Amino acid sequence: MNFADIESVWQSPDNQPGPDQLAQAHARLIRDLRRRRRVHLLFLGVVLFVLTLFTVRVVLFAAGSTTGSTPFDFAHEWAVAPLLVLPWAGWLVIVMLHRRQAGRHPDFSASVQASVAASLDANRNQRQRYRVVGGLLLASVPVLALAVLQLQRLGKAGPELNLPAFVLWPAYVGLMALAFAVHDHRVLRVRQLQLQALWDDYRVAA
Amino acid sequence: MTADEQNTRFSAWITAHAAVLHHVANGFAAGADRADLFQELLLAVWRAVPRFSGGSQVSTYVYRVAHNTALTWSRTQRNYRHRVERFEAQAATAPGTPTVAPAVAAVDRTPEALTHIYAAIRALPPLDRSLVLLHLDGASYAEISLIHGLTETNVGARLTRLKKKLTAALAPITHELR
Repeated sequence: MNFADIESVWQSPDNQPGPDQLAQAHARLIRDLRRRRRVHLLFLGVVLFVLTLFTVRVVLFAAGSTTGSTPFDFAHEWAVAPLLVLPWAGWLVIVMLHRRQAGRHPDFSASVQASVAASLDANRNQRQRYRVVGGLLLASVPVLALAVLQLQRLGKAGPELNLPAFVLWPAYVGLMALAFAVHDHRVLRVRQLQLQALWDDYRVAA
Repeated sequence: MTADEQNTRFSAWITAHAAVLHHVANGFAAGADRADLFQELLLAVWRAVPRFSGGSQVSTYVYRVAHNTALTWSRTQRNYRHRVERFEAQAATAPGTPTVAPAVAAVDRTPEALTHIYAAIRALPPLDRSLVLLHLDGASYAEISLIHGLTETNVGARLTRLKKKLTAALAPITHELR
């Protein structure tokens, strides 16, 4: 079989998609798009809701509005401030990473090579996001513990916060850190190696 | 661009370039993965419709989007697809499954030849795979160089080597297919 034979077979009707294949794939695409949009909106909504609720609760608690005790005393309750700042700092870092990546590859659609470079950078960014979010989550464990201790010392909180602050939250953070590590190692690292190999292939002279 | 305009243009593009998408899906994936990659290709083209500025031909743009998606596509839901493949294999051997009559199969060997060609293409490194597929789909060296961001000389040299490699890989089955 020479290359002309290959080209001849390639152009045969057998190498065309079946009439149903396109229609089925099209219908599946519409379903998939709707599902992805719903999931994306749900994710954004949940994150915004939780972050806002958390902030409002912490501010009200620190101000003493919910307990009827004395107003916020920074000298003795300062740990609430970093606890409040941590999630927003994480959100800001993620936005900055996204903007930096977008700025680095304004012409990512110019060629497949440029897209591969952008994908490689996006992969590195995602790994970095995991490290940032994981680091902030780990940092939140001692900060939350300190904030609760300070509030208990001032009588603004009782022993009911011991279980969530000293057991449940650290356990949740541990699980999240483990999930990040597994996903990073089994998915993101593998993808980075694939993209890097492809990128290297572009750099090799023919 | 309104959603209606996007849908209209998308339908026109995929109808005109269905064969290209089919070739890319088969050239980069096998088994149940093909349907998933085909789906990803459609999704990528749909997303790319509003970004088309008219700076190049639609065919070149669709080639670029499709090959970019295939090159950077990674398998997900592997377990799910394994289950689908197992199901398909069982369904194929189940009683009552229609089979191809031996006389017909002996006359037309094109599907078998295509299977071998796709297998040989999939055995190539990803970038080489993409170059061969583009060449077989009739893209010129200039178009390929534009799509991949390589020089025309580089594309020409790589394709000369790849044609020899592909022909050599298919040599053992030539006798069977003729």
